[in-house]
Amino acid sequence: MDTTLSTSHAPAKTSVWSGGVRPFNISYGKMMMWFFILSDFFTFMGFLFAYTALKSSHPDWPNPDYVFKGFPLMGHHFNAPLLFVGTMTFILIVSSFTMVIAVDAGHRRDYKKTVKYMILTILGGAVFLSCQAWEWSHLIHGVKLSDTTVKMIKDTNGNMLRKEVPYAMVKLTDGIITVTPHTAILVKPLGEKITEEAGKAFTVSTNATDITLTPIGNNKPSAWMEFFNEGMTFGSTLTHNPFGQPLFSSLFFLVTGFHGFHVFSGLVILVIIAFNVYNKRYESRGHYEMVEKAGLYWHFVDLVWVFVFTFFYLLK
Amino acid sequence: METQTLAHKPIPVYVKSIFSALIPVLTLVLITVTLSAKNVPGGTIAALWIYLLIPAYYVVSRLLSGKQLLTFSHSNESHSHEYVPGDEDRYIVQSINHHLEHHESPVKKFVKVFWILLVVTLIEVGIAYSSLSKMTMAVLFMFFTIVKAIYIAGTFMHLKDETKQFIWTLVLPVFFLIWFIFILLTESGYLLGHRLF
Repeated sequence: MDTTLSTSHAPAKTSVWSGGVRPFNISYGKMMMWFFILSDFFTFMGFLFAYTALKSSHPDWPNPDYVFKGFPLMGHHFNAPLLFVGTMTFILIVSSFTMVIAVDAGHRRDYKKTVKYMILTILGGAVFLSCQAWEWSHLIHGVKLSDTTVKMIKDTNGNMLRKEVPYAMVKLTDGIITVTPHTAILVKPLGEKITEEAGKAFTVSTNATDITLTPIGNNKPSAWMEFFNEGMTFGSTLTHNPFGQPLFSSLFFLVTGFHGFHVFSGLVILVIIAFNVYNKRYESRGHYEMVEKAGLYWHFVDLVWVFVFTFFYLLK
Repeated sequence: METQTLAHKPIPVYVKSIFSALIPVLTLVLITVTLSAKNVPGGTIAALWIYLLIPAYYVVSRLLSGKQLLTFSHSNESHSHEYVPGDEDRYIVQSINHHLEHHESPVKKFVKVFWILLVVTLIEVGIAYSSLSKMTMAVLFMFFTIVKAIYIAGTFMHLKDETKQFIWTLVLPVFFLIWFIFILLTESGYLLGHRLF
């Protein structure tokens, strides 16, 4: 009996899990930050996978290249997909880099350098948030009617086409919306909108290139134009999307908003901790691990952006 | 006992748990109601509700547990501002010093990873402008995204310096995501067929 016990507790069999040591060899705070990051990562992946699943189940999903093609101060006709969001990514990578330098300086307890690089990180994060604010407002305010690009999803034979279909410019002439160029007939998202609301004022008929509106009663063409300007200058909201499936914009606002909120809370954390480092609040602890924990969170924000960037802007 | 005020009476646990459960439920209900309302900038209002509920939760839970809303001064026992390092701090200092002794300055490594991340992003943008097929693009994008993620987590977040068991604790659950996306894509393929025909 005794021998059995002693062999089962033989010291030769000890592992890191036998107690007395830290199996992960990591401090409590950092470990918990990692577990938080893991769970938050799952939340984001849940959103992004939901986006992917909904995208591939809707035939009229917008092509991001046609949605995100603007740049500040370049006007409505500027067409360079990924340029602006690429700049945003660059800014976030730079801020991640400055953060890693700050963490390293924190390890060496160089508080001046730590604060300096944390301030640079905060600046990068603030610029990123401003970029996102511009992108949101650009998307929400939308574009004027003459600039509106519409997606065609059915060809003349009534076959459903997917995102390969080129976008058509919609121009407004008196009573007639001319769809140029190409062969397709029905502009579905916008078309449905027209039919639904226009039914009260005029009848709608379509052929290969035109959607013709015939007045009912005393309606005049000028009145229709106003009507259409009102009806068609809608930007993207949670329920409307001029580029196609409304789910696209609601998911875009949800997920980038969620990410932006993470950036914002990261900024708040960084400001507080930079302030504490500047006041030498961590000197008495003998280490600047708070900077490292904040850094972990900040890199996580960057890590998630890499995924958001891929799922929302790159994948078509 | 007589001096104890009403506010200091402990709140039963079940009241607290019901209250905590109400918050997410209420939030979901409010979001649903707001989104289903027509001609309302739904996102703004939904976000507003969420942002209102978080401080509301804080205030009510503070009140329920009989605490002051804001504490401006410490109690007499913990008045000392002197920080006394504990075992945890000693452990952290030890491991940081050990790390500094046994590794060279990692800044060079960080600069290298920074350039890698930048170049990979540029390559991705280049691929998006190219005329490759959608499937090829998707595969390349996923590949490059994972490359970037590994560099960020491994070097910037120092995951490579952690112990093997900790790395696996974090990485293993991530593999379950593959199963998740597989289910969702199967489902969406079915839905697409349903919507088309």
